[in-house]
Amino acid sequence: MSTATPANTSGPAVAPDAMGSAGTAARAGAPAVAGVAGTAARAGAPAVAGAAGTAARGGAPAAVGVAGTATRASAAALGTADAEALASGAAATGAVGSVARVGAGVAVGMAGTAGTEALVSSAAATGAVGSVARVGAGVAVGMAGTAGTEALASSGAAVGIAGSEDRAGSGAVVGAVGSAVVLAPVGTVTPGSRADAPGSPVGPTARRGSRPPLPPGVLNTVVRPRRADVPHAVIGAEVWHTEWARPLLERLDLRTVIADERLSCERVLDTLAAQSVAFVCEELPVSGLAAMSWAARRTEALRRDDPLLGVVFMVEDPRALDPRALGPLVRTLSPGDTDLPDFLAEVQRVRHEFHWELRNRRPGTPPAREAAAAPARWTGTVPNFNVKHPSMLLPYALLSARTRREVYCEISPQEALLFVADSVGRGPAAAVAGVFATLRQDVDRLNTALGSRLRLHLDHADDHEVIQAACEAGFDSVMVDGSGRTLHQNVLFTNAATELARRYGVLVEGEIGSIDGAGLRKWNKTTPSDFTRFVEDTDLDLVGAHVGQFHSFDYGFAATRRSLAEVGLLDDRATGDDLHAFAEACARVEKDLTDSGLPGYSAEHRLVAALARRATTAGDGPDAGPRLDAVFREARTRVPVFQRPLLDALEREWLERRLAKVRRKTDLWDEVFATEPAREHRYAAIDHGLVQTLTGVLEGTGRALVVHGGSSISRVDLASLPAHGVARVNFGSGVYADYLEALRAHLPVDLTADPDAPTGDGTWKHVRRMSYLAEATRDWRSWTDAPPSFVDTFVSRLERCYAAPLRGRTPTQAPGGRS
Amino acid sequence: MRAAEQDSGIGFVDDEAQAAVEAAEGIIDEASGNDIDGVFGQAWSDDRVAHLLERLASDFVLDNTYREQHLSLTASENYPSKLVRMLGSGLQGGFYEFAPPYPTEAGEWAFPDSGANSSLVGKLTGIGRQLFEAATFDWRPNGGSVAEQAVLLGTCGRGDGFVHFAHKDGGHFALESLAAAAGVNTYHLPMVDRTLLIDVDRLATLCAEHPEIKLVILDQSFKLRWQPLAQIRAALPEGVFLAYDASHDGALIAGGALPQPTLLGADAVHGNTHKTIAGPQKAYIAFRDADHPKLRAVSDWVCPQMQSNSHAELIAPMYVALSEIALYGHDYARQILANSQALAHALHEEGVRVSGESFGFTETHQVHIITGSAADALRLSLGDLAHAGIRTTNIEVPGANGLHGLRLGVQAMTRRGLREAEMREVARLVAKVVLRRAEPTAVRAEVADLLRHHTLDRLAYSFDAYVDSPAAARLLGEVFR
Repeated sequence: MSTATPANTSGPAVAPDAMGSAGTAARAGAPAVAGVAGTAARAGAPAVAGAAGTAARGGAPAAVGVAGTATRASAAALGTADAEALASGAAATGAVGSVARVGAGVAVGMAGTAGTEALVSSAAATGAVGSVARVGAGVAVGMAGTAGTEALASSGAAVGIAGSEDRAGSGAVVGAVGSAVVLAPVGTVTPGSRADAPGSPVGPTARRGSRPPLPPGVLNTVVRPRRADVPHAVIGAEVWHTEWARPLLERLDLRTVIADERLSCERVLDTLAAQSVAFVCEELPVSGLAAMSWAARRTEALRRDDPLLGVVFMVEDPRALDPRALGPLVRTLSPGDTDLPDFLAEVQRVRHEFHWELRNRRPGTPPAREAAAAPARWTGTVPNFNVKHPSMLLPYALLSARTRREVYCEISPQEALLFVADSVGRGPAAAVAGVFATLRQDVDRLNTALGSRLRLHLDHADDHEVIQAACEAGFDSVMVDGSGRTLHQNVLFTNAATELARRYGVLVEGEIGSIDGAGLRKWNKTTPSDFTRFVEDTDLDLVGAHVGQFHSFDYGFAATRRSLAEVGLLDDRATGDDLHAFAEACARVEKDLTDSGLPGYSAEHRLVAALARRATTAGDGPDAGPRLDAVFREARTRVPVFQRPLLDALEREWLERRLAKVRRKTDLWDEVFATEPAREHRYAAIDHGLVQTLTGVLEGTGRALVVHGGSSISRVDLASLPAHGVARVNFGSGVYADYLEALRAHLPVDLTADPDAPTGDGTWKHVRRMSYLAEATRDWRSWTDAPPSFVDTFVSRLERCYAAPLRGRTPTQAPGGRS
Repeated sequence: MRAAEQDSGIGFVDDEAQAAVEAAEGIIDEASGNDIDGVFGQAWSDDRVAHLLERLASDFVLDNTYREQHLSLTASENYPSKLVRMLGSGLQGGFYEFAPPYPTEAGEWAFPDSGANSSLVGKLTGIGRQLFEAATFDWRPNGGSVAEQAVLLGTCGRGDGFVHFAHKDGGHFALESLAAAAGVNTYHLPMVDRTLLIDVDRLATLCAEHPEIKLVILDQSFKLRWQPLAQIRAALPEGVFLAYDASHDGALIAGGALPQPTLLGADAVHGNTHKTIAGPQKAYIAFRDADHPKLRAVSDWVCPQMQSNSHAELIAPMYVALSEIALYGHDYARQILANSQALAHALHEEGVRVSGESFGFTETHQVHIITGSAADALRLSLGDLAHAGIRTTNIEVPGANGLHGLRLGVQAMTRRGLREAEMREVARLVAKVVLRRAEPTAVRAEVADLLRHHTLDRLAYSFDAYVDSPAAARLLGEVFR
């Protein structure tokens, strides 16, 4: 957004105008003030006009802000370009990416290319082009938006055009050209509104009880943005009162708590839940090596509860502390800094990757589209095969074509990331989304070429981002797996995910009871009471349950995201000379010197300080090469012999810290690739009574049971599942092993584990397999017309071992009972 | 604006939008030039004031976030709605109102005023009488302690006696020291530990043996059960004043989930308005009979003898809080009981030792769990549970042979919209800390996660849904005028 305007007004028409230009603070108490770049203009009168980067505030009639302006007036505000216009009375007009708010009267956000928002508590709001117009009463008009326009009115009328979404509490709604229009009766909840307001939880649970009554004419939605979602910043008082620092922090628009000697930063952090504070900003009262030690100590103290807390040290002189010597998510703030928003974004991004619960508290804003018609729920018992490599799609499609039946294939986000994705450069979620899109294209191509009915299913997704990515890629079915949560949280998660998937017309499978072999409750079967409550409280098409089968793979995606984020943090500072490691080494040696009785003024202390200073000043710049070697070399030629051990001790500490980081990274990769548990080589004992009980619960609901871990089920038991009314049986590890076995006929290789592997077996086993698959299936997309012979062999095995036992009966033919 | 429109090359798509823009510009034109003396501009330019306000805002951010993120299971607090909070600032300095609950001339306590206070008092006393089936409603006590102390001083003189709950049985702390200083003898209600009910026969004996007893006051703060008021009334000699302290269960009584004390023989019901009733920190005394011989004495002890000023600025918030009870109290009270039952049973199922299994754990908004020594309970309430984001209070659990534990109350969380399903989650979280010694920081993340679905900006059973309405806008516009 290149332009935006806030215009605030707080009372009926009584204010002056002031005019300011770039970087100006213009405050008017008089007739007219014109502020020029970098100046602060104050006057006591009529007009306030602020231009680029200006804050213009007026007590009265009109405030006009242009380009990056914040304009406030009590009567009317007109703002443009990166500005915000707020008015409590009369009118506010914001243009081009602006925000206009008025307490009464008219708010107009017009001609914005994107991001315009107009809020008005009464009368009328008009938002144009990608805008949001909200009114408490009266008329909201979102017009001419190419996409993403949203018009909300709690009463009166909402009009949206072109790709817009309109909501009105009462009155009329007019929408045109691809818009989603909702006309809600008085006091009802519209889609996407805050359904969790008075007195009831979200989802079907809430529907079972009565809500407290709502007043007539008041919509059960909250128009105001949720302030609670905004992160906090804890700012030291000395920073807050520093003239140059405060605007930099205010610009972030965080919820700010000011800490001082009566209310320490630590006390504030104790009060606020971890992860709701984005960063702490304190003054750094020392410089040089002492600053490095200070920063390390303070960072450790502040991060007692949250290791990902951002820490910012304010320094008047940027030379006081080299930011490269600080740890991850720690930085300095000096006059003229412009990248604090980037730092905030980085803290949020890393937390997002680390904390599964932060990502999944609730899904993002559902796409503005009408719910699509749901596909047919099930048509008999079908196999569902895991995709560990895209080349496996071909045999699955061939099986479907040859049997003229529907065949599902599924991929979990972990599989997509570790087996298929090219790069995680844009983050794991984006990499997985890319895989989904490619798979969809491949499946479509095969279905067209072979006449198959291969369906694509998302397996084990406990992440709203991933579910949305699969839906957007056009998957036919998704498994929203909240079974790692408590039952209550599972219901909340499942309902939110179902609401999302419904908008894409995608089949939804839920999960009840932990059935993951990697989990602690591997052997816990689903209890009928939990199952019943889950089914009652959710609106799913398919339900997965644990009925005694062995099942593995995979809940590892969240852990993988976390590991990759940690690798990224380690990469961030462990580059070049790794000044962060060197600063830590200096601090350690300093401590050793002190512990050995050397006073702070000794030559040895001064030597370490000099080396630290030299390391951070020599060869500055991002392109500067390694220079610590030169620093050490130079020092060795100058120090007396008795101080030489000091240099070597310092170098050892430095290298050990660098090595520790690299070791940590390789350990993390081992954790990522060691998520696949050993395959069970025996059949599980299926609890047929439980299967019958569970399918009995589903009877008449139009839903059906899904059984995972099909590879662990004997053929006899598999053949019994259709009679029970099971819709899908998933086959994972067995099919993959069979595929590798078949592929060896195509390209012989020994994939058994190497006992002399240099590091964790998981990593090297995976590398070997992926390398082999890449080589053996390099041109698999060209196999469609004339598949290699091993494919036929594999298809025959799929048919014989997995598909055939599931055929022969359909739910209408078989009411149930043991076979 | 016009220039921007032309520069961007984007025009309006219909006349309505064009008209809206022109209307806005018209208002701007009309509004411009009306600055008379630039007072606002000058005031806003004072950085000292700005700094002061920002520091104040910082404290409010901290506290609001704390409230948002913490699970309030303290039985003695609640979340007042937006109107209750805002209307306390509604009077521009007219903070004095005498208005006793009996007909009299204010005399030297009268001040010239607009008449608005009298109007507000009329509304408040009307709804108060209705909610508590009483003939009078004295809104003036500045807190529950003042109310019960006024009852004590208005009914007992030197040498008289009164009976109330012993502290171990949940009796309130405000009376005994005062009674001792006033020369009033103190007796404790005889209890049956297993049932936590008053032993009515022994109470009758006590009163017969001590004819100086003039007051029986049911002032229980640790309250799991409804006491047999009708039997108690029947057992008391003629002339003994029976007072019921409804500080804790006021909303349950007013909402019809518990019986009305006045209909079962209590002479007066009194209590504060900030526990189950989510109002300001005020109190009330409601007499069953407007001609009761003790009415004037009790009322005069409230004001002017114990307090000269009754915080008249809180009349409107009290009225709103009681009106919320009048409109939503039926559902609210029943949800409280359902939630406390759900919490108690879920805690019991988790393995926590919950008091009162023989009578179904609770008949009120409270749940008592037994944890061991006083030090254990204190460590939990101020240590692990507090760090886990769960607010509770430690008590000596009634009927538990001197063992201590925690008193939990569900009324605040009920106002945040938690129901039985969420109460099971709450029980799981409490049990993780109390029983399984889970890392408080980890539990805290779960607490914050649970509460994100139940924000403070739209409380259940409140008028919060009306805050955006035109009527509320007019009211608040006047309040802040």
